[in-house]
Amino acid sequence: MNVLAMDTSLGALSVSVRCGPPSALRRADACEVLSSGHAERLVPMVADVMAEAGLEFPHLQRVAVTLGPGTFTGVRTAIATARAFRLATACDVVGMTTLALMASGAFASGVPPAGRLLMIALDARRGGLYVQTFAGDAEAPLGPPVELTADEAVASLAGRPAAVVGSGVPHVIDAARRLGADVVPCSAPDTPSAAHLADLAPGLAPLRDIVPLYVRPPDAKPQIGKSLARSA
Amino acid sequence: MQPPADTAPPRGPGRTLTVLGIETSCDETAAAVVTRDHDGRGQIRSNVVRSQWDAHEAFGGVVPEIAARAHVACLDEIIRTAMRDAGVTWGDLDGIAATAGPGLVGGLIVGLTTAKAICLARNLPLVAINHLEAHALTVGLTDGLQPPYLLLLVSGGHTQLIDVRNVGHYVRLGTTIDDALGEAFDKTAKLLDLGFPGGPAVEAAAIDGDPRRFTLPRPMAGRAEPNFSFAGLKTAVRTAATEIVPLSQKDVADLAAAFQEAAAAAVIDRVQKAMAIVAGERAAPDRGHCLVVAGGVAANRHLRGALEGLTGRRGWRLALPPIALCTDNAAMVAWTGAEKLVRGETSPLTFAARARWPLDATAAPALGAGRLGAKA
Repeated sequence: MNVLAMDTSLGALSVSVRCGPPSALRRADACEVLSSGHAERLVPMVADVMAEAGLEFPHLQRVAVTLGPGTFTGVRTAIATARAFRLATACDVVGMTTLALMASGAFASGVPPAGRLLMIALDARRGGLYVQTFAGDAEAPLGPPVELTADEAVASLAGRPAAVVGSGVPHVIDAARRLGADVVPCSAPDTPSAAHLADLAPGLAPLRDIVPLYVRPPDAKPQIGKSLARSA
Repeated sequence: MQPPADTAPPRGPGRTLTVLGIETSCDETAAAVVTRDHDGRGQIRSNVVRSQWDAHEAFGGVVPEIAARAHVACLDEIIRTAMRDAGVTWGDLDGIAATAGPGLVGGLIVGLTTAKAICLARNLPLVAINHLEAHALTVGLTDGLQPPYLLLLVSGGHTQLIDVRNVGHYVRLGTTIDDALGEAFDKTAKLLDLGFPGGPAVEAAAIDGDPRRFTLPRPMAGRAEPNFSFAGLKTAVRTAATEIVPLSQKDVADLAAAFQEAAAAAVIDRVQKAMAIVAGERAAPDRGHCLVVAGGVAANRHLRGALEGLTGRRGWRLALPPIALCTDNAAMVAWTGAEKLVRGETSPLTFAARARWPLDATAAPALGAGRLGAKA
């Protein structure tokens, strides 16, 4: 299957292509650490990686994209691109959450140590973490992705030993020390990988609705009490 | 599957251009297909606009993050509808034009990124469009009107007077140093509990009002440079209203009427200054002088009437595009894209969305407009 995978959800931008028959699979990958500017770099990077792999759009069969959570604009950038490719070509679109993709990558590289849960914790800023915890493999989450404080994340383990991966590791480890929980950091990558997503993409089910997973609502409050009183 | 776009005929001047436009700079998600024939005449093949008013109403104004979320949720479907309504396929297009600024950057990124991806996949040229330029050139599409003309742009995000000398040549004569006029309408509507968007709400409330009951200021009246300011007017409405709370229906109607009257009078005063500047610089015009009005506030009937009176007295032509093309839309974006394409102007796929993008990059920040100057 000819696959294009993209991730712009966090502090890196990565694009990967897998194409050609299984016996002669062609691979091309690109990744840049990028704190901002994903929207300017993504489409040119797709062009470069597609060219490197020798894949043309009429032959593209599947686009894989991370759905979030992450930075709001970053998550939207890859999803808008995926939706546009589906609109303009005959490809379908598959997706994984950033947390499930990172968990899959960690399990594939032998993390966590036996007997420990795997917690993916991303720094959501303003004291929050995007958190999801897995037992055994990336298809066995203990619950949906949620936003928690570090203390709440540790408490959610209910005393079970865990390994933690992601940009939120320092916050979780600090909270675990304070709360006396058995949580250890792991050395798995702290950003999602488009290359890993491209490898998984043929086995994922196509999405009808490609919906961002923001987890955190918009920072806006209804304007109540801004109007002057009316007489009866 | 449709044939790849690179099998399409060569593009360039002297032939009909068909362009898809995308607009996501504020709270309208829009796509349109426009054709520009070899004589420079435009035709709107489709024009699809989905407003987000419902999503923002509870907040009393546009919330940028809510707007961006709404754009990404529906833009592809809006484009599909615009293409279907126009009866065109990707192979029929000569380019894609997308608003790249000024505006809310989250929404701009959705529209511009979508355009880039389609351009890459279908081998089409991208044209990144300045939203203000699209408003400025709309009369070329609707009225066949070519520059030079004076443009009054009055919307929720912008209030400017621009001397449109040619396509790509703009001189900003005046801008707001604080609130845009549409923003002042929204805030006044919020104060008076009239709902959102404020323009239509204030206008409807003002119908039964007496504009003479309250004396409100005409901001900037008499100043030599044709800049605008509406923050003081908004505060004056609040002051007048606070003195008589609780407000009866009659109070609200009178306040709305007084605000609308003062806002229109302020605009007329500023436009007169700009007309004098333009008339002085083009003492012997070939085709007479023309005032073009664009932006959502151009829908206000009181303002339209005042502008008709002013231009009539001065012997100027007044060009008011249809309301649907005064408010944010993608037909104006597609048209501007066609005007750029016919001149050989395209944009790279690295083009960045711009929250601020002055149409006249040489214009000095208006006095009092803050450290960064006006947004546009």
